[in-house]
Amino acid sequence: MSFLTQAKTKRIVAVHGWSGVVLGLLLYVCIFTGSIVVFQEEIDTWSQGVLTHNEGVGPRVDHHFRTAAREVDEKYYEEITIFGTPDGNVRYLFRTHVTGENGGIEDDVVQLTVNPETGEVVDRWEGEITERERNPKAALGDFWVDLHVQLYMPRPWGLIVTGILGLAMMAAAVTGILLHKHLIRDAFVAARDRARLVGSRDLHVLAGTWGLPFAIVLAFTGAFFSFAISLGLPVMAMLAFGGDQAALMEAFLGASKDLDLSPAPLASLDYIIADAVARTDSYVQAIEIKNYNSVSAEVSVRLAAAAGSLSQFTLGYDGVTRAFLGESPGFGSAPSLSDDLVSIIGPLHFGNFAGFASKTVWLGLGLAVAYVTATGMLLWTKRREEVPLWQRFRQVIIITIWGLPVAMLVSAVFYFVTLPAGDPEWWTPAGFLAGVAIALLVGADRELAERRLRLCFALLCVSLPILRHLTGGASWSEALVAGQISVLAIDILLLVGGFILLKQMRSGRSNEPGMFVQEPAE
Amino acid sequence: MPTPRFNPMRSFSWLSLIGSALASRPVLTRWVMAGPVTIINSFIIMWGMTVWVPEGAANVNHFALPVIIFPLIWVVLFTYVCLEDNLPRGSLVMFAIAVVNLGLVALG
Repeated sequence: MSFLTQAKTKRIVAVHGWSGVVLGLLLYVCIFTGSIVVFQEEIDTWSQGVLTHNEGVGPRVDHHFRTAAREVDEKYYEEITIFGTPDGNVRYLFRTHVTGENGGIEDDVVQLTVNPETGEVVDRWEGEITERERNPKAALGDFWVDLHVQLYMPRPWGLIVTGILGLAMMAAAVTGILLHKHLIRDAFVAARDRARLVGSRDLHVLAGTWGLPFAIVLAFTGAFFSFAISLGLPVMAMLAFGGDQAALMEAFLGASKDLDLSPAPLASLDYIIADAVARTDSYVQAIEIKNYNSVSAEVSVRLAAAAGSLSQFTLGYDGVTRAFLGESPGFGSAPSLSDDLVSIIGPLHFGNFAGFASKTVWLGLGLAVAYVTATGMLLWTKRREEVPLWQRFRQVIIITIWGLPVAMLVSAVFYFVTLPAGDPEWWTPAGFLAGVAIALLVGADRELAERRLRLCFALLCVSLPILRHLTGGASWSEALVAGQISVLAIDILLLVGGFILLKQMRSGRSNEPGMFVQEPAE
Repeated sequence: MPTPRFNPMRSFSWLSLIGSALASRPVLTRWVMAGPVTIINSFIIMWGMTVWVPEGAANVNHFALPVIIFPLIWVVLFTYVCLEDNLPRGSLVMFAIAVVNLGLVALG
């Protein structure tokens, strides 16, 4: 933008560059993993070899739920959530709230996984969880999500770090806009010099220009998710509620009514489900019951986004009389601007508002932003190639760029190998660390680092579908018959991607500079 | 490029002294302002918003909206601090933002 004076431009370039260099590696990890876990649902289906479809909560859960509830201590009746699992079972989460070690409120949970046809309890687990239900089979998808959300660091530190990364990304995007002299022209950089772009800076600018609006959306929504939980709400509780988090939550959820916990039978869940489905053109994702079997019982039915709707919605029912109470807001006692904003922040961040199509666009744009981050760091080091320190940093960047996907695939290898033994939750992160060690060893040679890591990545891509099959994963024919296209699609994507990389390397194109090797900046 | 002189406050000698001190260490001043001062000010603005943002029918907007737009508040302040040539003036603006919002909280 031309209004910037020379001094301002110099300063903004420094901010743009340094914010990228200081936090760029972590930012790259966060963005790359985020792009991949857009397809978390499909990754779960692929990794677990799921041949059934999770269609939420079926029409008949009432009888099996009541039978299972009898086996659970009444203190857990405070809040109950019922939802479908990816492998076709139904899970009941009975929870009560306890004060944790750090003084915060935590969930004490009894979790039952039930076969929806027979009512048999397949799995029972008890404990304190604050994040999500425990499911060892989903260890791979969960680990990759954790890597994205909090860099596999403990809470709240991981969220604070990713929140800072979100802010850094916003700063880089805004300063990027300020530095763009020709925003529109840069979006259509013409092919030059025998159909090749003149330099890597052009590629950085091209990917950056197209990814800019997306980067801002992603950074804002990501920073909100990280900061709102880890800092925003606690700080707000401290500032406006004198440190009383319970008071803040009460303000958010509406003042709690005087509860009448005298016994009263819960209305038929089957009736409520049928009524909710009849009122909407959707299916039930989850049911929440508060104060089960009491006069103050309430039932909330969460339904998937209906056609033409951006996000899911919730209908409320009286738990005893089964009277319809209307649509429930996500928080607060009535619809509000903040609730509307929060309800669109989720779909905008996860890219799941238009199914497979929007997820694919989010994956592509996410990888473009990851590419911009990586090439930005490399351009920075290329400009300083006479300084040995920056050259060593350049090698670290190359190792991170290729080492991250390598380590993610190694974590998948460990997951598949240990899944039959039943402890992938420990081995999947261990596999990632092993992958990092492999990347460091393979990338030790500065000249050959990128080539060797690419080879490593390609071999892992090709071998992973075979390994998945050998360790008892669903076969392609089984997946096809069950209509689980995700299993085939991810296998084929890995095989084709791996073979293309291998073919490129065999045909001599590997002698050319790698895709991340940079020309000097203009 | 030399930092512009701190003319508006010449008559206040102690302010002038602070201004000169800030201007004499431009890099340090800008780092402090863009880092801790911006983040603290963002929280102060968030706090101040609880006073003047309408509560809405659900009685949540006044404290939910500030939390939601916190990243935007931060990025606006950060960009301003980066673009401001006159560091003493920038410091004064940040200080004024803090004072106004804290005043709102005190009055509210």
